[in-house]
Amino acid sequence: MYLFKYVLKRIGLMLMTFFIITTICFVLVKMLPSLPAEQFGKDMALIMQRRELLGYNLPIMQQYARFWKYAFQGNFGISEVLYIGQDVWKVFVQKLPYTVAVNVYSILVSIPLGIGLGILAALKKNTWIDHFISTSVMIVVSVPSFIYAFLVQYILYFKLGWASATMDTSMGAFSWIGFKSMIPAILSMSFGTIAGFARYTRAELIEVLTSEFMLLARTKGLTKAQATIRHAMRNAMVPIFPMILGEFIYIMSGSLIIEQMFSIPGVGKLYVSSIQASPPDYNFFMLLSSFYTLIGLAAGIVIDISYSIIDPRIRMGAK
Amino acid sequence: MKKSLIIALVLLLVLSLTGCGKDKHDKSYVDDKTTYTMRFAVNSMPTSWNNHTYQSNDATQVMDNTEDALYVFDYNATKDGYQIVPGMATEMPKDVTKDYVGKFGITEESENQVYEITLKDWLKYDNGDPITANDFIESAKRLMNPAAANYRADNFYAGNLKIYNAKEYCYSGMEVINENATNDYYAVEDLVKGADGVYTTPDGNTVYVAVDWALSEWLSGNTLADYVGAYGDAYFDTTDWDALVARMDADEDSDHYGLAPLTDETLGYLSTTTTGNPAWGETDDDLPAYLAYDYAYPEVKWEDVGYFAKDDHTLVLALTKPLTGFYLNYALCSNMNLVHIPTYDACTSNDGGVYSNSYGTSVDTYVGYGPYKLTDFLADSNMAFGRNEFWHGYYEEEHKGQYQTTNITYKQVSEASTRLEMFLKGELEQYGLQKDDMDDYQGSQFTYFTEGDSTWFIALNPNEEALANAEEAASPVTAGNTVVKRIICIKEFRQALSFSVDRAAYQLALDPTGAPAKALYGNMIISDPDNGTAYRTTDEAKQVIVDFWGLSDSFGEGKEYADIDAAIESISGYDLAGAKELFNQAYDKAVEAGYIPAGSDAWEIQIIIGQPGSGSSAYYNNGYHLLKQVWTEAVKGTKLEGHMEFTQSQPLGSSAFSSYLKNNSIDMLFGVGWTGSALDPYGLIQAYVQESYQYDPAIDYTSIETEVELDGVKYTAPTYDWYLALSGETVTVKGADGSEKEIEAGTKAENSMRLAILAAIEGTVLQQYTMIPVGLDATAALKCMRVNYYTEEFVYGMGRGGVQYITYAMDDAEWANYVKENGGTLDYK
Repeated sequence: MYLFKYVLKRIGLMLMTFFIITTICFVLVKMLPSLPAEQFGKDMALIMQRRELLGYNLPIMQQYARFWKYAFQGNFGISEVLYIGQDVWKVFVQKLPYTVAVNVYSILVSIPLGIGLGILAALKKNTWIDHFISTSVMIVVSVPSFIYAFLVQYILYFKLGWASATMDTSMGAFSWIGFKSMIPAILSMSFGTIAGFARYTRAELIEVLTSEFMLLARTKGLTKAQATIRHAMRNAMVPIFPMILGEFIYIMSGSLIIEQMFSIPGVGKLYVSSIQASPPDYNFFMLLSSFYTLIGLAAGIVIDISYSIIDPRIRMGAK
Repeated sequence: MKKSLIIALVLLLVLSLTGCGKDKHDKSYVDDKTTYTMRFAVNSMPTSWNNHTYQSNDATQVMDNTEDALYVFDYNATKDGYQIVPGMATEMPKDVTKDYVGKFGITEESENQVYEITLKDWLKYDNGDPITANDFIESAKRLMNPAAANYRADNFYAGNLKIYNAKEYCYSGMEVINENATNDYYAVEDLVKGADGVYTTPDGNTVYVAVDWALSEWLSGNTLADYVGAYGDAYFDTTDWDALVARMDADEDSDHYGLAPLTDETLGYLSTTTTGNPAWGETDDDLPAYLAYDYAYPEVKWEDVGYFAKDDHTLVLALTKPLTGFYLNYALCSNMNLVHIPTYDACTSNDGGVYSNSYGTSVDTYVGYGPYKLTDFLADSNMAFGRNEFWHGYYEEEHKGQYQTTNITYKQVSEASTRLEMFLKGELEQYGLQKDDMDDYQGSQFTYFTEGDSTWFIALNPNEEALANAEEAASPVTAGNTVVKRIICIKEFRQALSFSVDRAAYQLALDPTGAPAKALYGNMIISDPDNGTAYRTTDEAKQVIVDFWGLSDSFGEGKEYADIDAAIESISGYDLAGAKELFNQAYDKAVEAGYIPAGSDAWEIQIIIGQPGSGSSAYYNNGYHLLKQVWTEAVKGTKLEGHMEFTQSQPLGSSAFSSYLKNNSIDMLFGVGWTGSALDPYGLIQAYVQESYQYDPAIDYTSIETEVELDGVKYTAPTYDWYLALSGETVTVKGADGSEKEIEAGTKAENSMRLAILAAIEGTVLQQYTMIPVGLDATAALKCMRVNYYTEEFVYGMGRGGVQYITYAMDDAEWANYVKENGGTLDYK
């Protein structure tokens, strides 16, 4: 009951926050300079007339009301700059699978590897294995992902010829050909995640392994392996599981650099492009702002709730 | 028997003739025994190639392959120039003006205004549907649909080709504000005073005083506020000026910004301002020229537009202005925005009450009619083309042996380093070299340089009043310093900035494929399109350069340079000693003008250099640091040493960056200019002398005189008037002997006269030192080993042959083997 009330309260707050954020986004983007510059040999009256037809000359709040009126009908409008004449939602949905694919593959590779390496490093604490893993993790964490991207592409594609330079989209996002051609991108995206999980898992596990209840478990007669798996791992997972959940929740967020580097036609560049366009692509910007704001806010609730599922001692909403 | 024989013979003859006709265009000359794929990797791909709405040049990646034109460029007989030949048309346009007297505004005196174009009767879309004249007309009707306000709708009236009533049809029902002087020119007594005291036109449209609203006719594109701001009491009676300004709409987002409703009160204020000071030289009779009024365009029927199908294969175009010769043919090197009507209509939507159209956004929403057909497309990823088996050219003998390319593919690859890797592995047919590649590939036998038609400038806008305001608003870098910006108004300062820049070094550092610029126009600008004469090769254009760089007396027998070409060749644009001297002169003048406090050392010249674009750009970042270093060094040893402070602006966007210089929010732009119009430099000069286009609107070309020598007589007129003469208007110019002459130098005038005027205007603009030419754009590309260009030299309009003429030394399979045999990576160094 506590949890139910808590969730309801959070959803209410989420909707309020969502409305405030989208309102701010709409007002701010509409306040950006958007009048086109005089172009040589171009009839500017025609351009101004198109703006008039699009309602750009209406008061901002009137435009905002219009935006929600159609958004509630599932109509986020037509792109006027980036994908002229196309339904922004359709374009977004068309591009989303490519982003989801590269993120899912990357997560599937990096989470087991990262947690595995973290466990190994924790169990072999202060041995050469731990030093090697920890040093590698530090190096990987310190280097920006586009550097790996360049290196991976150069080595796997140019020097060894084992992979293609860019994604092959001929059979779709989730095809075998697509997966094969995405391997350099998946690797480039995975390094950072692997390192992050390894570092975090190591730290958490080491802390748990040195806890008193672990000593108790051993004195009860459990083997080291039994104590580690049954007690240490479960406790260490309390903060790690929400991290995993977070990774999955954000699979719809594109990586600008990786997608650009490996020609993955995902959503990574859309948000930046929509606001950098001149004039901004308002409909795209508002769709993406609304979508990602909602995802972000919902993710916050889901992650919070997940704590109580993993660890029953944590009771959300209880006084 | 004899009768039967005759009938049989006649039948045979008829059949054979019919058969010949059919054979002529039923036999394909295409040889598709093997595949030759042209593979491109591009930085960005089109998202829409609807020829009614596209805005990005990327759309041409599709349209160049899948669309055609009535007339097309081709090599001339000697392959060193171009000619315009029929494409979708059967012959060159036929002048039928006299057949339409009494229609479309055509009179007995009219000539070169109505043309018939006969289409080939074997034209087809790439889905096999026939193309008729009516398809062109229906396409144009949709293009100019007033409810759509399509971006490309002005194709039919904004350029040289002005179709009768096209603009009026486009504007049907559109509400605009008309300048009184260029429209009905209502006298004050013609107007009707309403109950609220506001005047309206006899049609009931509200009339305004144009206070801060550009008047193209009366004030050459400037506003009254500009003039009053610039000259104040010297020319105007400013007693009521503030009161008038207070009545205008001050909302910058409003359509009516700068306009004050016309009442007896505002009319009185206007009268006081413009007639109260005799120096301005106007009377109340001139007041209507300062008025504007609301106007809603009347509905125009499509049938009244001068563009229709005479029959299935004949288009008729009626123009509002005469057009003939090259410029007519060039204007018709167009597909006239032809679309596939059923597909186009299926893509139309009216979501939310707003017209939009998704034609040309995917394979399913597009039907082409060019040599190739779009077969695959994924936005931001890749697209592919195969042969369009229905394209008319494949059935014409003159194209035999051409279009060897069977397939074309594009892949979006944002990183240049990846594109280079792909090229070296034999996966691309071409790679556009980047600055960082030049060390490795500049000397390669596979590298081809192509000069562009753009000149890049350092632009300054010496608006004294605005700069004074900017000085007041600025914070000094060193506390206590006086900020100085108005020194930009001193010509010697601008000259010194110009002479300090070693253009060759500048280009090498920022754009190694480009070349130093010495004037407004580069080498690719054509001044006589009939014979392809490059403007810079003419005597007039050469003289402009030597005059501007002070070498007029330095060439000839016994002089420093043997001839004018040698003198031009010697120009580097760099004269550090001269620049230092000019900096000192500028300082003295700035002190005298009160810009720099005399006897004080607590001042700094602040120059904010603008950064065009939406994000960080290597060109503009590196260029900023380079120029800052160059000018900081150049002032050493001068009176300005230690007083120059440079800052870089935030990114100013990709389209409106010039407005920041125009309103003096920034002090300088570099790497900016105008592109296109290589075949019409006479039209392009407008960009340099008309206030609404100028980067430097503080320079008023309506008051700066230019002298032009015509037939041995020197004539003087405001520079802007000379431009008007080039655009076809009749202007009055003054002869050296005090006589006056009316001159019209439009497209029908002698080219020598147009050339002389153009060169003189170029000289005048250069002499202002506000548009300082620095670089000429050019590109360099590596050509794949298996590809053969048709001509090694670049020919305007044809390039080096393009897909039409390119041939391959190996087919795809042979090429793949060749690359494999060579270790998978090829050496192009």
